[in-house]
Amino acid sequence: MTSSTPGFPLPGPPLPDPATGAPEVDPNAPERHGPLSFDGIRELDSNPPRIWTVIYITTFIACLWVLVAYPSIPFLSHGGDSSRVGLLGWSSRAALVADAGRAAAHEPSIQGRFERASYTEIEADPALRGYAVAAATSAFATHCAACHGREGRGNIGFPNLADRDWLWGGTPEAIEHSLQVGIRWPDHEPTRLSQMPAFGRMGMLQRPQILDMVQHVWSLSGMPHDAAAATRAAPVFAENCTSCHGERGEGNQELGAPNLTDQIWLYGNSQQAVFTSIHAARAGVMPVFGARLGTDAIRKLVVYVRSFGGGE
Amino acid sequence: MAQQPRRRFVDLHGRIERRALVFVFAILGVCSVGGLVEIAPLFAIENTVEPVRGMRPYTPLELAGRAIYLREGCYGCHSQQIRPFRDEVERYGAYSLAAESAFDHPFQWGSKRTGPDLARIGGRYSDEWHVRHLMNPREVVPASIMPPYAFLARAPLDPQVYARHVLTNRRLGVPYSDEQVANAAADMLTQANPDADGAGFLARYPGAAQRAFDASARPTEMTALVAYMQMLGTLAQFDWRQPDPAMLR
Ligand code: HEC
Ligand code: HEC
Ligand code: HEC
Repeated sequence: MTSSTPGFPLPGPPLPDPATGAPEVDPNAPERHGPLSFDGIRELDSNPPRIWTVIYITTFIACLWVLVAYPSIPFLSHGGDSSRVGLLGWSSRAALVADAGRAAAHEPSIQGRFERASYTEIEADPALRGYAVAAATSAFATHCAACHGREGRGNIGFPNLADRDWLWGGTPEAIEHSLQVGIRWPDHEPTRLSQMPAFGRMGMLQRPQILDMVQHVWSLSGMPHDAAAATRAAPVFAENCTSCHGERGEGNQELGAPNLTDQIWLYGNSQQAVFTSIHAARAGVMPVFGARLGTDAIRKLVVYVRSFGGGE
Repeated sequence: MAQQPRRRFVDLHGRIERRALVFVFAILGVCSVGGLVEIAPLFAIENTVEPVRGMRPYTPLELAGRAIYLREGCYGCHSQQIRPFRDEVERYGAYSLAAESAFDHPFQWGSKRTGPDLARIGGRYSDEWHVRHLMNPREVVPASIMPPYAFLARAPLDPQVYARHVLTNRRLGVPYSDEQVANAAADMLTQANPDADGAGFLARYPGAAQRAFDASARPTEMTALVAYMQMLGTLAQFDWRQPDPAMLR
């Protein structure tokens, strides 16, 4: 190809094909003039295959249908209520409410039985218990695992729910109450409350007294300790601590005061940890779940928590 | 060639292409369709943003926390928009309303969820949990891939600097009153101090939480971020199961 310019329609008669001498003609657009080939590539003005045209027009019509059938024109919606906008009367919010309703009615018979049964009946009935555990598994992973761990085994400051040591009680009713009202949740009237005084920070006990007290606390659960220091602290314990932790340090669930005689520690048993517990005091906080989850989900969670094996 | 040239769509295009002015107007016409689709809803904003009880502009401390949230790019991994699907409302809580982003400049909807949605994170965890999680996410969530932000607890919060965000936001259309602007720095310190007299602060921001948020003596960037987290999603008062007709206009 020597004389030809790129295949763009040019005014004038079609130029001859240099190879054959015949003028080049586009069969789809005979009026096009000029060389249609360049470097052996011929450019024709052909229509696309019919199927593409059909698909193009069909999608166009479908778009128009969606536009009028579903809420898509914001000028017509009323403060978030879009159900009156589209021809179908569809709204994502109404669809959600319907979806949730269907899910609730999924197993009406066993759900109804669950709602009527007491905790004792539920735990005695493998079907009901299994139903609750299955329903609560993902709720626990979503709402509780970040603090209590995937298997409920706890973390520093977040109690193990799988053992037999309970701060506020391991009966179904006590667990349900802990979930309904939360623990030390700020600005929430019915929440579980109790506050150990910060004996060191508030100047009620001096540093050497607290160090002795650490030895005494260790002695309560039979840990290796300095017996002389523990004995020195015994009267101080009787005076300051027994009102909450009990005569022998066995704890008090009314006040959420931990049992100090078992070897289970909420905040750790190192000298530093126990010192801080007495010096600055602790105040574990758990959110309120009552309004967030609703009673039905909470009851299932109670059965689930007890299925860890630590219930009372 | 005696054949009559056929008038075809392609020819029409060819003719437009060869007339510069016509071509310019044709381009403008086509582009403005795209523009219109994006701009038109802004004129219907009164219709799309439903009024809902409980919304108030962010307190200066929350606003500072939000600025830190933006600065740290938390939006790169966290969205703040719960969609109206059952799986989402069961996991995160009620779907988000447009009104809940009305004071956000810019909004934080996002589309990338490396971590969970945070639109209703407020009240789901304790302050202490947030601090521990931000200090070292793996301490509380062993499998977490979220980066640690321990430096926030060492960065003091300068109330004078962050108070100006209130004024900036007012210029952007957030309805802060003169009183709120004037007291911004003081309100920031008050909110983070449980022992301070909070009467004026609470009158300006009804229902706001006044407490320590973290263990620092003076507010740090951590304090502000936790205050922001604990407010997220707690302002709007509505129940998605029974949308209140009073809420809708
Ligand atoms: C923000 C962290 C956090 C979350 C989330 C959380 N908890 Fe707790 N939970 C705690 C803390 C802290 C305590 C202990 C409070 C204390 O020190 O008295 C606790 C205590 C409890 C108790 C009482 C334990 C006892 O020994 O009496 C139960 C039961 C419980 N949680 C169950 C749950 C369940 C079920 C969930 C999920 C719905 C949950 N928690 C979510 C932090 C949390
Ligand atoms: C007003 C009641 C009260 C008094 C008085 C009190 N405590 Fe406590 N104590 C608590 C509560 C409640 C907790 C649990 C805090 C939590 O769950 O966050 C606790 C926790 C502790 C812990 C941490 C236990 C663990 O498992 O990590 C130690 C140690 C402790 N107390 C020792 C003492 C000593 C020693 C005294 C006396 C000097 C004392 N307490 C006085 C209520 C009290
Ligand atoms: C690299 C991505 C990434 C970045 C950046 C990131 N996060 Fe996360 N975040 C995650 C992941 C993954 C999780 C889930 C695991 C966990 O809880 O740690 C998460 C969880 C969380 C949670 C708990 C959510 C819940 O419902 O359990 C909060 C709160 C949070 N992030 C806040 C923040 C804040 C604030 C920032 C910015 C300072 C931030 N994240 C930055 C990835 C990220």
